[in-house]
Amino acid sequence: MRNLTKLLTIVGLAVAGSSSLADKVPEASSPVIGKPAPDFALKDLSGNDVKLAAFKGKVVVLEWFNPGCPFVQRSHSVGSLVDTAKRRTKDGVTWLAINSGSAGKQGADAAQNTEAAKKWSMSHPILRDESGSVGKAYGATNTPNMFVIDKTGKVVYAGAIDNSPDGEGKSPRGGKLVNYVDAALDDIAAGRPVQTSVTKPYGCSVKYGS
Amino acid sequence: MARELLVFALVAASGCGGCKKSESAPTGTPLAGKAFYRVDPGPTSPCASGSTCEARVVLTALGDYHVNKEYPFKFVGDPAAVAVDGEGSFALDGAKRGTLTIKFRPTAPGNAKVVGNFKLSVCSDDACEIESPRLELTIPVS
Repeated sequence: MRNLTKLLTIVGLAVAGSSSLADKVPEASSPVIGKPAPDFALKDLSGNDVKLAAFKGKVVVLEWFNPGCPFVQRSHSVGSLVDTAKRRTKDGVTWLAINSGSAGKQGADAAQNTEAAKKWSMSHPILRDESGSVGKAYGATNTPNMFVIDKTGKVVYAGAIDNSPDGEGKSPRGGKLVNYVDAALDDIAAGRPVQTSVTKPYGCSVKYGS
Repeated sequence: MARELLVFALVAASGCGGCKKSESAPTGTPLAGKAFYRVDPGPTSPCASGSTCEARVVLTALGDYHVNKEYPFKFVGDPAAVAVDGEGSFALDGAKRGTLTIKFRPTAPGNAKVVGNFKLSVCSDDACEIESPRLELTIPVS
């Protein structure tokens, strides 16, 4: 009977937890957090080589990108990615977008990426990772999915751009919008540990080939 | 006794006390929809003037699409129509279906019009979609 009571308690909690989505705090994990950032060499939309190792000693933000994803579209047009990269690069941060979409998948077309960069006034490069090897090395699952690398080359933040999973900044969990990347960069600039180091990314799945 | 309790617990966990779940799409004319989703009127309950009433709509993802369970589904009421309390609450009912419940307080008997936009998202393996169809619900008020 005692075991049955335990079972009923567990079931009761499961039922309570599944009844509404509104206030759930999603669980989060990352295979790279606290570890050295996996190195990579990718080409930008103009065919130039971009190597992560070239930014040694600098703070780097990686933004997994897909211009066909409505969450990316909203983040760049009305949400937390509007001007964040521009503002932060002025502070000396290196910001790189990475598209791990396989050829033929949504948002993988080079012309579509070029058009999106123009439309959203993106001054940072979009790197192409058609094989998906870099995305998989970082455990990138969504677009947008953000990673912050500190000056020592360690991944100190992995997760969502913010706590508003509509991409528009209009439905923040807990009522107050938090831009997690801004917060992490503020922590780094202040010389303190990143307080929120992992969150669960939201948005579209990364369109890997296999 | 123990076995009965276990059966009760499992039924409760399924979120469906004795009803038969179906993943098939509803028929008839939807309130809104596209090739990958449809929104239909949900179950109704009696509504009296001056009390808090509930309107429900059911979202069904069509084809290869499923309901995006991470999305903050909400109803943004039209200020010109009957006032709604909050932004509604959304409950999943399987991978392809969910119900949005909208609370409102009618001030007079007759037909109350609940009007607004339902912000929703459905995804397939290849794409996610965010939609915001305008809904107009007529609820009889006693």
